[in-house]
Amino acid sequence: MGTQPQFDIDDSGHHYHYFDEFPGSFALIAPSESVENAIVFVHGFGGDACGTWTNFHLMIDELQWNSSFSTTDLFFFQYHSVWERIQSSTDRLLKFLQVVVFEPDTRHFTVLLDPILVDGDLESSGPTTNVLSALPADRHYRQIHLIGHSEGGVVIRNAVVKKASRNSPLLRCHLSLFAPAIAGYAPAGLLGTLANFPGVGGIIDALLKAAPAYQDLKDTPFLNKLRRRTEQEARDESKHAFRAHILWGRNDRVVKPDKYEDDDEDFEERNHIQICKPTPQYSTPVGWVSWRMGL
Amino acid sequence: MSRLQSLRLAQFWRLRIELGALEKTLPAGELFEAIGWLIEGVFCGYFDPREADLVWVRMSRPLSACGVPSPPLVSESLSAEIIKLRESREPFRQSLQMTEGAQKGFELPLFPHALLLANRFYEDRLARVCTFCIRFLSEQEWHDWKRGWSSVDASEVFEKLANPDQASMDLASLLAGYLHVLEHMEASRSFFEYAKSHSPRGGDFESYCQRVGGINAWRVPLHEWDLSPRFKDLSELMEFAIRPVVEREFAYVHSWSVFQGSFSDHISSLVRAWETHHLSASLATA
Repeated sequence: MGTQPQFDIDDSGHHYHYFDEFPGSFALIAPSESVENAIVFVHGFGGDACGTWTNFHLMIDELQWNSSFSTTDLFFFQYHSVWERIQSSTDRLLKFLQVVVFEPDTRHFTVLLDPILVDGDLESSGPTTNVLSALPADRHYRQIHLIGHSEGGVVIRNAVVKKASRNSPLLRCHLSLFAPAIAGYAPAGLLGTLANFPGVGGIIDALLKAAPAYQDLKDTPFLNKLRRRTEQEARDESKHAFRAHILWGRNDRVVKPDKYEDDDEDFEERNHIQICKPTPQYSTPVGWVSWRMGL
Repeated sequence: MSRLQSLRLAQFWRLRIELGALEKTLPAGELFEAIGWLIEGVFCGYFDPREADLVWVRMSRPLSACGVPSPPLVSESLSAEIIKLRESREPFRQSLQMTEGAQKGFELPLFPHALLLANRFYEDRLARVCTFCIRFLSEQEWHDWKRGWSSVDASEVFEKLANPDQASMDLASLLAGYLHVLEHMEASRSFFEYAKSHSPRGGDFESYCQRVGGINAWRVPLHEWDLSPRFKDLSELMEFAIRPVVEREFAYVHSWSVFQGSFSDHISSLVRAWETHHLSASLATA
Protein backbone atom coordinates (compact mmCIF):
# COMPACT_ATOMS: atom_id res chain seq x y z
CA MET A 1 0.00 0.00 0.00
CA GLY A 2 1.53 3.37 -0.97
CA THR A 3 0.92 6.87 0.28
CA GLN A 4 -2.35 8.64 -0.40
CA PRO A 5 -2.29 10.65 -3.64
CA GLN A 6 -3.01 14.36 -3.69
CA PHE A 7 -6.38 15.20 -5.16
CA ASP A 8 -8.34 18.28 -5.97
CA ILE A 9 -11.14 19.11 -3.56
CA ASP A 10 -14.46 17.90 -4.87
CA ASP A 11 -17.40 19.71 -3.34
CA SER A 12 -20.21 17.77 -4.97
CA GLY A 13 -22.96 15.95 -3.09
CA HIS A 14 -22.83 12.61 -1.33
CA HIS A 15 -20.63 9.88 -2.77
CA TYR A 16 -22.28 6.53 -3.58
CA HIS A 17 -20.25 3.72 -2.04
CA TYR A 18 -21.16 0.05 -2.51
CA PHE A 19 -20.25 -2.64 0.04
CA ASP A 20 -18.79 -5.84 -1.39
CA GLU A 21 -19.48 -7.81 1.77
CA PHE A 22 -23.04 -6.59 2.20
CA PRO A 23 -24.56 -7.12 -1.24
CA GLY A 24 -27.17 -4.55 -2.15
CA SER A 25 -26.29 -2.25 0.74
CA PHE A 26 -24.71 1.08 -0.04
CA ALA A 27 -23.78 4.36 1.59
CA LEU A 28 -24.10 7.99 0.64
CA ILE A 29 -20.99 9.48 2.13
CA ALA A 30 -20.91 13.17 2.91
CA PRO A 31 -18.09 15.09 1.24
CA SER A 32 -17.13 16.72 4.51
CA GLU A 33 -14.23 15.52 6.65
CA SER A 34 -16.05 16.44 9.81
CA VAL A 35 -19.16 14.28 10.03
CA GLU A 36 -20.81 13.41 13.32
CA ASN A 37 -24.20 12.16 12.19
CA ALA A 38 -25.14 8.87 10.58
CA ILE A 39 -28.49 7.56 9.45
CA VAL A 40 -29.11 3.89 8.76
CA PHE A 41 -32.12 2.95 6.65
CA VAL A 42 -33.63 -0.53 7.01
CA HIS A 43 -36.26 -1.50 4.43
CA GLY A 44 -39.25 -3.77 4.96
CA PHE A 45 -40.73 -7.01 3.66
CA GLY A 46 -40.12 -7.39 -0.08
CA GLY A 47 -38.38 -4.02 -0.28
CA ASP A 48 -34.74 -3.18 -0.85
CA ALA A 49 -32.16 -0.54 -0.04
CA CYS A 50 -33.05 1.44 -3.13
CA GLY A 51 -36.73 1.05 -3.98
CA THR A 52 -38.12 1.44 -0.46
CA TRP A 53 -36.45 4.82 -0.08
CA THR A 54 -37.12 6.11 -3.61
CA ASN A 55 -36.09 9.75 -4.03
CA PHE A 56 -34.61 9.96 -0.53
CA HIS A 57 -31.17 9.45 -2.05
CA LEU A 58 -31.68 12.32 -4.44
CA MET A 59 -33.52 14.80 -2.27
CA ILE A 60 -30.90 14.98 0.48
CA ASP A 61 -28.55 16.79 -1.90
CA GLU A 62 -31.17 19.28 -3.04
CA LEU A 63 -30.55 22.86 -2.06
CA GLN A 64 -33.52 22.82 0.31
CA TRP A 65 -32.17 19.87 2.33
CA ASN A 66 -28.47 20.04 1.66
CA SER A 67 -27.70 22.12 4.72
CA SER A 68 -29.35 19.44 6.85
CA PHE A 69 -27.65 16.43 5.33
CA SER A 70 -24.33 17.72 4.02
CA THR A 71 -22.56 16.59 7.18
CA THR A 72 -24.45 13.33 7.55
CA ASP A 73 -23.52 9.91 6.18
CA LEU A 74 -26.46 7.79 5.11
CA PHE A 75 -26.38 4.00 5.01
CA PHE A 76 -28.94 1.94 3.14
CA PHE A 77 -28.89 -1.58 4.53
CA GLN A 78 -30.22 -4.48 2.49
CA TYR A 79 -31.18 -7.93 3.74
CA HIS A 80 -33.26 -10.92 2.64
CA SER A 81 -36.49 -9.62 4.07
CA VAL A 82 -38.65 -12.35 2.62
CA TRP A 83 -36.44 -15.38 2.74
CA GLU A 84 -34.85 -15.02 6.15
CA ARG A 85 -36.35 -15.04 9.60
CA ILE A 86 -36.36 -11.86 11.65
CA GLN A 87 -33.64 -13.20 13.96
CA SER A 88 -31.33 -13.84 11.03
CA SER A 89 -31.98 -10.41 9.53
CA THR A 90 -31.36 -8.89 12.95
CA ASP A 91 -28.02 -10.63 13.13
CA ARG A 92 -27.10 -9.25 9.70
CA LEU A 93 -28.09 -5.73 10.75
CA LEU A 94 -26.05 -5.94 13.96
CA LYS A 95 -22.98 -7.06 12.01
CA PHE A 96 -23.47 -4.27 9.50
CA LEU A 97 -23.86 -1.65 12.22
CA GLN A 98 -20.81 -2.85 14.09
CA VAL A 99 -18.29 -2.83 11.24
CA VAL A 100 -19.71 -0.06 9.09
CA VAL A 101 -21.22 2.47 11.49
CA PHE A 102 -20.24 2.00 15.14
CA GLU A 103 -16.59 1.17 14.47
CA PRO A 104 -16.11 1.68 10.75
CA ASP A 105 -13.67 -0.91 9.47
CA THR A 106 -11.55 0.65 6.72
CA ARG A 107 -11.76 -2.64 4.82
CA HIS A 108 -15.39 -1.90 3.94
CA PHE A 109 -14.58 1.54 2.60
CA THR A 110 -11.41 0.75 0.71
CA VAL A 111 -11.55 0.68 -3.07
CA LEU A 112 -8.86 -0.93 -5.18
CA LEU A 113 -7.62 1.47 -7.80
CA ASP A 114 -5.85 -1.10 -9.99
CA PRO A 115 -8.06 -0.62 -13.06
CA ILE A 116 -7.28 3.08 -13.22
CA LEU A 117 -3.57 2.80 -12.47
CA VAL A 118 -1.09 3.08 -15.27
CA ASP A 119 1.11 0.11 -16.00
CA GLY A 120 4.55 -0.03 -17.59
CA ASP A 121 3.21 0.20 -21.11
CA LEU A 122 1.27 3.37 -20.53
CA GLU A 123 2.14 6.98 -19.94
CA SER A 124 2.56 7.61 -16.22
CA SER A 125 -0.07 10.10 -15.13
CA GLY A 126 -2.29 8.28 -12.66
CA PRO A 127 -2.30 7.95 -8.89
CA THR A 128 0.58 6.11 -7.30
CA THR A 129 -1.25 4.12 -4.64
CA ASN A 130 -3.46 1.16 -5.34
CA VAL A 131 -6.15 1.78 -2.69
CA LEU A 132 -8.28 4.70 -1.65
CA SER A 133 -10.83 5.11 1.14
CA ALA A 134 -14.32 6.25 0.31
CA LEU A 135 -14.32 8.12 3.63
CA PRO A 136 -12.70 11.55 3.43
CA ALA A 137 -11.59 11.13 7.06
CA ASP A 138 -12.06 8.75 9.98
CA ARG A 139 -15.60 8.72 11.27
CA HIS A 140 -16.72 8.76 14.91
CA TYR A 141 -20.43 9.38 14.85
CA ARG A 142 -21.87 11.32 17.75
CA GLN A 143 -25.49 10.81 16.74
CA ILE A 144 -26.80 7.73 14.96
CA HIS A 145 -30.34 7.44 13.73
CA LEU A 146 -32.00 4.19 12.70
CA ILE A 147 -34.85 4.51 10.23
CA GLY A 148 -37.03 1.50 9.48
CA HIS A 149 -39.98 0.79 7.27
CA SER A 150 -42.47 -2.00 7.98
CA GLU A 151 -40.56 -5.20 8.79
CA GLY A 152 -37.43 -3.05 9.02
CA GLY A 153 -38.94 -1.50 12.16
CA VAL A 154 -39.24 -4.94 13.73
CA VAL A 155 -35.69 -5.87 12.76
CA ILE A 156 -34.37 -2.66 14.33
CA ARG A 157 -36.36 -3.09 17.54
CA ASN A 158 -35.30 -6.70 17.81
CA ALA A 159 -31.67 -5.64 17.39
CA VAL A 160 -32.08 -3.11 20.18
CA VAL A 161 -33.61 -5.68 22.53
CA LYS A 162 -30.82 -8.12 21.76
CA LYS A 163 -28.30 -5.56 22.98
CA ALA A 164 -30.39 -4.45 25.98
CA SER A 165 -28.16 -6.01 28.61
CA ARG A 166 -24.93 -4.69 27.13
CA ASN A 167 -23.33 -1.31 26.86
CA SER A 168 -23.81 -1.16 23.13
CA PRO A 169 -23.77 2.08 21.10
CA LEU A 170 -27.00 0.76 19.66
CA LEU A 171 -28.79 1.70 22.86
CA ARG A 172 -27.89 5.35 22.31
CA CYS A 173 -29.28 5.41 18.77
CA HIS A 174 -32.47 7.26 17.93
CA LEU A 175 -35.31 5.42 16.22
CA SER A 176 -37.70 6.77 13.61
CA LEU A 177 -40.00 4.23 12.07
CA PHE A 178 -42.29 4.41 9.05
CA ALA A 179 -45.32 2.15 9.48
CA PRO A 180 -43.43 -0.48 11.48
CA ALA A 181 -44.95 -3.95 11.56
CA ILE A 182 -44.51 -4.12 15.34
CA ALA A 183 -48.11 -5.21 15.86
CA GLY A 184 -48.13 -7.71 13.04
CA TYR A 185 -48.17 -7.84 9.33
CA ALA A 186 -50.04 -9.63 6.56
CA PRO A 187 -47.48 -10.79 4.05
CA ALA A 188 -49.47 -13.88 3.08
CA GLY A 189 -48.22 -15.75 0.04
CA LEU A 190 -47.78 -14.19 -3.33
CA LEU A 191 -50.33 -11.44 -2.73
CA GLY A 192 -48.55 -10.36 0.41
CA THR A 193 -45.28 -10.19 -1.43
CA LEU A 194 -46.81 -8.27 -4.29
CA ALA A 195 -48.32 -5.82 -1.84
CA ASN A 196 -44.80 -4.51 -1.33
CA PHE A 197 -44.02 -3.96 -4.96
CA PRO A 198 -44.20 -0.36 -6.09
CA GLY A 199 -47.07 0.04 -8.51
CA VAL A 200 -48.41 -3.48 -8.24
CA GLY A 201 -48.53 -2.95 -4.49
CA GLY A 202 -50.89 -0.06 -5.00
CA ILE A 203 -53.29 -2.36 -6.81
CA ILE A 204 -53.11 -4.96 -4.07
CA ASP A 205 -53.62 -2.21 -1.53
CA ALA A 206 -56.87 -1.30 -3.25
CA LEU A 207 -57.99 -4.89 -2.88
CA LEU A 208 -56.92 -5.06 0.75
CA LYS A 209 -58.90 -1.92 1.44
CA ALA A 210 -62.12 -3.80 0.84
CA ALA A 211 -61.13 -6.85 2.81
CA PRO A 212 -61.09 -6.09 6.53
CA ALA A 213 -60.59 -9.76 7.35
CA TYR A 214 -57.20 -9.51 5.75
CA GLN A 215 -56.39 -6.95 8.38
CA ASP A 216 -56.83 -9.31 11.27
CA LEU A 217 -53.22 -9.68 11.94
CA LYS A 218 -52.27 -12.18 14.54
CA ASP A 219 -50.04 -11.11 17.36
CA THR A 220 -47.34 -13.69 17.53
CA PRO A 221 -45.57 -14.57 20.78
CA PHE A 222 -42.41 -13.11 19.25
CA LEU A 223 -43.98 -9.71 18.68
CA ASN A 224 -45.54 -9.72 22.13
CA LYS A 225 -42.21 -10.50 23.74
CA LEU A 226 -40.50 -7.80 21.73
CA ARG A 227 -43.06 -5.30 22.91
CA ARG A 228 -42.83 -6.36 26.54
CA ARG A 229 -39.03 -6.18 26.62
CA THR A 230 -38.94 -2.84 24.82
CA GLU A 231 -41.54 -1.22 27.05
CA GLN A 232 -39.73 -2.47 30.13
CA GLU A 233 -36.38 -1.05 29.04
CA ALA A 234 -37.90 2.24 27.87
CA ARG A 235 -38.26 3.25 31.52
CA ASP A 236 -34.54 3.96 31.51
CA GLU A 237 -34.48 7.35 29.81
CA SER A 238 -30.80 7.16 28.94
CA LYS A 239 -31.56 4.36 26.49
CA HIS A 240 -33.01 6.32 23.57
CA ALA A 241 -33.28 3.28 21.39
CA PHE A 242 -36.22 1.82 23.29
CA ARG A 243 -38.43 4.72 22.33
CA ALA A 244 -39.33 5.43 18.74
CA HIS A 245 -41.08 8.13 16.83
CA ILE A 246 -43.47 6.58 14.36
CA LEU A 247 -45.07 7.88 11.19
CA TRP A 248 -48.16 5.89 10.18
CA GLY A 249 -50.12 6.02 6.95
CA ARG A 250 -53.84 6.64 7.40
CA ASN A 251 -54.49 4.52 4.31
CA ASP A 252 -52.23 1.68 5.34
CA ARG A 253 -53.96 -1.71 4.90
CA VAL A 254 -50.94 -3.79 5.71
CA VAL A 255 -49.94 -3.01 9.29
CA LYS A 256 -51.88 -2.03 12.41
CA PRO A 257 -51.02 1.42 13.75
CA ASP A 258 -50.36 0.19 17.27
CA LYS A 259 -47.39 1.89 18.91
CA TYR A 260 -45.54 0.90 22.07
CA GLU A 261 -46.29 2.73 25.29
CA ASP A 262 -43.43 5.25 25.16
CA ASP A 263 -43.42 5.85 21.42
CA ASP A 264 -44.57 9.06 19.81
CA GLU A 265 -46.62 8.96 16.65
CA ASP A 266 -47.90 11.01 13.73
CA PHE A 267 -50.16 10.19 10.81
CA GLU A 268 -50.02 11.08 7.14
CA GLU A 269 -52.52 10.58 4.30
CA ARG A 270 -50.48 7.81 2.71
CA ASN A 271 -50.59 4.05 2.29
CA HIS A 272 -48.05 1.48 3.41
CA ILE A 273 -45.80 1.91 0.39
CA GLN A 274 -46.03 5.66 -0.01
CA ILE A 275 -45.43 6.60 3.62
CA CYS A 276 -41.61 6.54 3.42
CA LYS A 277 -41.14 7.69 -0.17
CA PRO A 278 -40.64 11.42 -0.55
CA THR A 279 -41.63 13.12 -3.78
CA PRO A 280 -41.38 16.75 -4.83
CA GLN A 281 -45.03 17.05 -3.69
CA TYR A 282 -44.64 15.01 -0.49
CA SER A 283 -41.39 15.92 1.21
CA THR A 284 -42.58 14.86 4.66
CA PRO A 285 -40.31 11.79 4.94
CA VAL A 286 -37.16 13.86 4.36
CA GLY A 287 -38.39 16.70 6.53
CA TRP A 288 -39.44 14.32 9.28
CA VAL A 289 -36.07 12.57 9.36
CA SER A 290 -34.26 15.91 9.28
CA TRP A 291 -36.39 17.18 12.15
CA ARG A 292 -35.87 14.00 14.15
CA MET A 293 -32.12 14.34 13.66
CA GLY A 294 -32.28 17.92 14.85
CA LEU A 295 -30.61 18.98 11.63
CA MET B 1 -7.92 14.42 -11.13
CA SER B 2 -10.31 14.22 -8.20
CA ARG B 3 -10.32 11.69 -5.40
CA LEU B 4 -14.01 11.06 -5.93
CA GLN B 5 -13.60 10.55 -9.66
CA SER B 6 -11.00 7.88 -8.99
CA LEU B 7 -13.21 6.15 -6.44
CA ARG B 8 -16.19 6.24 -8.77
CA LEU B 9 -14.41 4.77 -11.73
CA ALA B 10 -12.65 2.06 -9.74
CA GLN B 11 -15.97 1.02 -8.25
CA PHE B 12 -17.66 1.14 -11.60
CA TRP B 13 -14.98 -1.12 -13.04
CA ARG B 14 -15.36 -3.58 -10.20
CA LEU B 15 -19.15 -3.74 -10.43
CA ARG B 16 -19.70 -3.67 -14.15
CA ILE B 17 -16.63 -5.09 -15.82
CA GLU B 18 -14.38 -7.05 -13.50
CA LEU B 19 -17.02 -9.19 -11.77
CA GLY B 20 -18.79 -9.97 -15.03
CA ALA B 21 -15.52 -10.81 -16.75
CA LEU B 22 -14.51 -13.08 -13.85
CA GLU B 23 -17.71 -15.02 -14.31
CA LYS B 24 -17.01 -15.08 -18.04
CA THR B 25 -20.60 -14.00 -18.52
CA LEU B 26 -20.26 -10.53 -19.89
CA PRO B 27 -22.33 -10.63 -23.04
CA ALA B 28 -22.20 -7.93 -25.68
CA GLY B 29 -25.25 -6.07 -24.40
CA GLU B 30 -23.78 -5.81 -20.91
CA LEU B 31 -20.42 -4.59 -22.18
CA PHE B 32 -21.90 -2.04 -24.56
CA GLU B 33 -24.11 -0.78 -21.75
CA ALA B 34 -21.06 -0.43 -19.47
CA ILE B 35 -19.32 1.60 -22.18
CA GLY B 36 -22.43 3.74 -22.48
CA TRP B 37 -22.22 4.58 -18.78
CA LEU B 38 -18.51 5.30 -19.13
CA ILE B 39 -19.12 7.68 -22.03
CA GLU B 40 -21.93 9.49 -20.28
CA GLY B 41 -20.01 9.60 -16.99
CA VAL B 42 -17.04 11.27 -18.65
CA PHE B 43 -19.34 13.61 -20.56
CA CYS B 44 -21.00 15.00 -17.43
CA GLY B 45 -17.78 15.06 -15.38
CA TYR B 46 -18.56 12.13 -13.10
CA PHE B 47 -15.51 10.19 -14.32
CA ASP B 48 -12.08 11.57 -15.12
CA PRO B 49 -11.29 11.34 -18.88
CA ARG B 50 -7.64 10.35 -18.35
CA GLU B 51 -8.61 7.52 -16.05
CA ALA B 52 -11.38 6.52 -18.43
CA ASP B 53 -8.75 6.14 -21.14
CA LEU B 54 -6.90 3.65 -18.95
CA VAL B 55 -10.07 1.70 -18.34
CA TRP B 56 -10.77 1.83 -22.06
CA VAL B 57 -7.45 0.15 -22.80
CA ARG B 58 -8.33 -2.62 -20.37
CA MET B 59 -11.71 -3.07 -22.02
CA SER B 60 -10.31 -3.43 -25.50
CA ARG B 61 -9.91 -7.20 -25.40
CA PRO B 62 -13.46 -8.09 -24.24
CA LEU B 63 -14.77 -5.40 -26.57
CA SER B 64 -13.10 -6.85 -29.62
CA ALA B 65 -14.61 -10.22 -28.71
CA CYS B 66 -18.09 -8.67 -28.77
CA GLY B 67 -17.85 -7.48 -32.35
CA VAL B 68 -19.27 -4.29 -33.81
CA PRO B 69 -22.00 -2.71 -31.69
CA SER B 70 -25.23 -2.27 -33.55
CA PRO B 71 -28.93 -1.76 -32.85
CA PRO B 72 -31.02 -3.10 -31.22
CA LEU B 73 -28.53 -3.89 -28.42
CA VAL B 74 -27.31 -0.31 -28.56
CA SER B 75 -28.87 2.83 -29.91
CA GLU B 76 -27.62 4.29 -33.20
CA SER B 77 -25.92 7.14 -31.36
CA LEU B 78 -24.21 4.92 -28.79
CA SER B 79 -23.07 2.58 -31.53
CA ALA B 80 -21.50 5.53 -33.39
CA GLU B 81 -19.84 6.73 -30.17
CA ILE B 82 -18.29 3.34 -29.49
CA ILE B 83 -16.96 3.06 -33.02
CA LYS B 84 -15.50 6.55 -32.70
CA LEU B 85 -13.81 5.63 -29.42
CA ARG B 86 -12.24 2.59 -31.04
CA GLU B 87 -10.63 4.74 -33.67
CA SER B 88 -8.96 7.11 -31.23
CA ARG B 89 -5.78 6.58 -29.22
CA GLU B 90 -6.90 8.71 -26.27
CA PRO B 91 -10.64 8.65 -26.86
CA PHE B 92 -11.92 10.17 -23.65
CA ARG B 93 -9.30 12.91 -23.37
CA GLN B 94 -10.35 13.99 -26.82
CA SER B 95 -14.07 13.53 -26.29
CA LEU B 96 -16.63 16.26 -25.86
CA GLN B 97 -17.42 17.20 -22.26
CA MET B 98 -20.20 19.27 -20.79
CA THR B 99 -19.39 22.84 -19.98
CA GLU B 100 -20.21 24.28 -16.57
CA GLY B 101 -23.75 25.58 -16.42
CA ALA B 102 -27.34 24.71 -15.62
CA GLN B 103 -27.46 21.54 -17.71
CA LYS B 104 -24.34 20.10 -16.10
CA GLY B 105 -25.63 21.21 -12.71
CA PHE B 106 -28.72 19.17 -13.46
CA GLU B 107 -27.11 16.05 -14.94
CA LEU B 108 -24.06 15.49 -12.75
CA PRO B 109 -25.89 15.05 -9.42
CA LEU B 110 -28.36 12.67 -11.04
CA PHE B 111 -25.74 10.48 -12.66
CA PRO B 112 -24.78 8.31 -9.65
CA HIS B 113 -28.41 7.50 -8.99
CA ALA B 114 -29.12 6.64 -12.61
CA LEU B 115 -26.07 4.38 -12.45
CA LEU B 116 -27.23 2.86 -9.17
CA LEU B 117 -30.59 1.92 -10.69
CA ALA B 118 -28.86 0.49 -13.75
CA ASN B 119 -26.45 -1.49 -11.57
CA ARG B 120 -29.34 -3.02 -9.65
CA PHE B 121 -31.06 -4.02 -12.86
CA TYR B 122 -27.79 -5.50 -14.08
CA GLU B 123 -27.25 -7.50 -10.88
CA ASP B 124 -30.82 -8.81 -10.63
CA ARG B 125 -30.76 -12.52 -11.43
CA LEU B 126 -34.51 -12.90 -11.70
CA ALA B 127 -34.85 -9.93 -14.02
CA ARG B 128 -32.03 -11.41 -16.08
CA VAL B 129 -33.95 -14.68 -16.56
CA CYS B 130 -36.90 -12.69 -17.82
CA THR B 131 -34.93 -10.46 -20.18
CA PHE B 132 -32.93 -13.45 -21.41
CA CYS B 133 -36.08 -15.38 -22.27
CA ILE B 134 -37.61 -12.41 -24.05
CA ARG B 135 -34.51 -11.76 -26.09
CA PHE B 136 -32.94 -15.12 -26.75
CA LEU B 137 -35.61 -17.83 -26.82
CA SER B 138 -36.46 -18.92 -30.34
CA GLU B 139 -40.02 -18.56 -31.59
CA GLN B 140 -40.53 -22.28 -31.12
CA GLU B 141 -39.13 -22.23 -27.59
CA TRP B 142 -41.29 -19.27 -26.63
CA HIS B 143 -44.33 -21.01 -28.05
CA ASP B 144 -43.51 -24.17 -26.10
CA TRP B 145 -43.13 -22.19 -22.89
CA LYS B 146 -46.46 -20.46 -23.47
CA ARG B 147 -48.25 -23.76 -23.79
CA GLY B 148 -47.18 -24.58 -20.25
CA TRP B 149 -48.24 -21.30 -18.70
CA SER B 150 -51.45 -22.62 -17.19
CA SER B 151 -49.35 -24.88 -15.00
CA VAL B 152 -47.50 -22.05 -13.25
CA ASP B 153 -47.82 -22.34 -9.49
CA ALA B 154 -48.13 -19.19 -7.37
CA SER B 155 -46.30 -20.80 -4.47
CA GLU B 156 -43.31 -21.54 -6.69
CA VAL B 157 -43.29 -17.93 -7.86
CA PHE B 158 -43.30 -16.87 -4.24
CA GLU B 159 -40.33 -19.15 -3.57
CA LYS B 160 -38.40 -17.54 -6.41
CA LEU B 161 -39.24 -14.04 -5.27
CA ALA B 162 -38.20 -14.99 -1.78
CA ASN B 163 -34.89 -16.41 -2.87
CA PRO B 164 -33.66 -14.84 -6.12
CA ASP B 165 -30.37 -16.74 -5.88
CA GLN B 166 -32.35 -19.84 -6.87
CA ALA B 167 -33.41 -18.29 -10.16
CA SER B 168 -33.36 -20.80 -12.98
CA MET B 169 -34.79 -21.21 -16.44
CA ASP B 170 -38.33 -22.16 -15.49
CA LEU B 171 -41.79 -20.61 -15.53
CA ALA B 172 -41.77 -19.56 -11.90
CA SER B 173 -38.47 -17.71 -12.36
CA LEU B 174 -39.74 -16.15 -15.56
CA LEU B 175 -42.78 -14.71 -13.82
CA ALA B 176 -40.81 -13.68 -10.74
CA GLY B 177 -38.31 -12.06 -13.12
CA TYR B 178 -41.13 -10.27 -14.91
CA LEU B 179 -42.27 -8.80 -11.59
CA HIS B 180 -38.73 -7.68 -10.91
CA VAL B 181 -38.50 -6.11 -14.36
CA LEU B 182 -41.70 -4.21 -13.59
CA GLU B 183 -40.10 -3.06 -10.37
CA HIS B 184 -37.07 -1.77 -12.25
CA MET B 185 -39.35 -0.03 -14.72
CA GLU B 186 -41.18 1.57 -11.82
CA ALA B 187 -37.89 2.73 -10.30
CA SER B 188 -36.87 4.15 -13.66
CA ARG B 189 -40.17 5.96 -14.08
CA SER B 190 -39.86 7.45 -10.65
CA PHE B 191 -36.28 8.56 -11.35
CA PHE B 192 -37.07 10.22 -14.68
CA GLU B 193 -40.15 11.93 -13.26
CA TYR B 194 -37.95 13.30 -10.52
CA ALA B 195 -35.36 14.32 -13.09
CA LYS B 196 -37.97 16.01 -15.26
CA SER B 197 -39.24 18.01 -12.32
CA HIS B 198 -35.69 19.29 -11.78
CA SER B 199 -34.77 19.83 -15.41
CA PRO B 200 -33.57 23.40 -15.94
CA ARG B 201 -35.76 25.80 -17.84
CA GLY B 202 -34.59 25.84 -21.41
CA GLY B 203 -32.72 22.56 -20.87
CA ASP B 204 -33.08 19.62 -23.19
CA PHE B 205 -34.77 16.90 -21.17
CA GLU B 206 -35.51 14.84 -24.25
CA SER B 207 -31.82 14.71 -25.11
CA TYR B 208 -31.09 13.67 -21.52
CA CYS B 209 -33.57 10.78 -21.81
CA GLN B 210 -32.14 9.71 -25.16
CA ARG B 211 -28.58 9.69 -23.88
CA VAL B 212 -29.02 8.38 -20.34
CA GLY B 213 -32.21 6.36 -20.70
CA GLY B 214 -30.99 4.96 -23.99
CA ILE B 215 -28.00 3.28 -22.36
CA ASN B 216 -29.97 0.39 -20.85
CA ALA B 217 -32.99 0.57 -23.12
CA TRP B 218 -32.10 -2.86 -24.52
CA ARG B 219 -33.09 -4.58 -21.28
CA VAL B 220 -36.80 -4.07 -21.97
CA PRO B 221 -37.01 -4.27 -25.77
CA LEU B 222 -40.40 -2.71 -26.30
CA HIS B 223 -39.11 -1.13 -29.51
CA GLU B 224 -38.33 -4.44 -31.18
CA TRP B 225 -41.36 -5.61 -33.11
CA ASP B 226 -40.56 -9.30 -32.69
CA LEU B 227 -39.79 -9.12 -28.94
CA SER B 228 -42.28 -6.55 -27.73
CA PRO B 229 -45.25 -8.98 -27.92
CA ARG B 230 -43.40 -11.33 -25.59
CA PHE B 231 -43.32 -8.68 -22.90
CA LYS B 232 -47.06 -8.24 -23.32
CA ASP B 233 -47.57 -12.03 -23.20
CA LEU B 234 -46.11 -12.11 -19.72
CA SER B 235 -49.13 -10.40 -18.21
CA GLU B 236 -51.08 -13.52 -19.23
CA LEU B 237 -48.61 -15.64 -17.30
CA MET B 238 -49.20 -13.33 -14.37
CA GLU B 239 -52.93 -13.97 -14.67
CA PHE B 240 -52.47 -17.72 -14.57
CA ALA B 241 -50.52 -17.43 -11.33
CA ILE B 242 -52.41 -14.78 -9.49
CA ARG B 243 -56.01 -15.15 -10.59
CA PRO B 244 -56.73 -18.22 -8.44
CA VAL B 245 -55.26 -16.41 -5.44
CA VAL B 246 -57.21 -13.20 -5.99
CA GLU B 247 -60.45 -15.10 -6.60
CA ARG B 248 -59.93 -17.17 -3.48
CA GLU B 249 -59.03 -14.22 -1.23
CA PHE B 250 -61.29 -11.52 -2.57
CA ALA B 251 -64.16 -13.26 -4.34
CA TYR B 252 -66.68 -11.72 -2.01
CA VAL B 253 -65.64 -8.15 -2.73
CA HIS B 254 -64.05 -8.11 -6.17
CA SER B 255 -64.27 -9.90 -9.44
CA TRP B 256 -61.06 -10.78 -11.24
CA SER B 257 -61.75 -8.07 -13.77
CA VAL B 258 -61.24 -5.35 -11.13
CA PHE B 259 -57.70 -6.51 -10.47
CA GLN B 260 -57.05 -7.21 -14.13
CA GLY B 261 -58.17 -3.73 -15.12
CA SER B 262 -55.92 -2.07 -12.54
CA PHE B 263 -52.99 -4.28 -13.42
CA SER B 264 -53.42 -3.69 -17.11
CA ASP B 265 -53.52 0.10 -16.56
CA HIS B 266 -50.42 -0.16 -14.43
CA ILE B 267 -48.50 -2.08 -17.09
CA SER B 268 -49.61 0.35 -19.79
CA SER B 269 -48.36 3.30 -17.80
CA LEU B 270 -45.01 1.60 -17.17
CA VAL B 271 -44.66 0.80 -20.86
CA ARG B 272 -45.42 4.39 -21.81
CA ALA B 273 -42.88 5.66 -19.31
CA TRP B 274 -40.17 3.23 -20.51
CA GLU B 275 -40.84 4.24 -24.11
CA THR B 276 -40.66 7.92 -23.23
CA HIS B 277 -37.59 7.77 -21.04
CA HIS B 278 -35.52 5.00 -22.62
CA LEU B 279 -36.69 4.40 -26.13
CA SER B 280 -37.54 7.77 -27.59
CA ALA B 281 -34.44 7.77 -29.82
CA SER B 282 -35.00 4.21 -31.05
CA LEU B 283 -38.70 4.74 -31.66
CA ALA B 284 -38.01 7.96 -33.54
CA THR B 285 -35.64 6.18 -35.92
CA ALA B 286 -37.64 2.94 -36.18
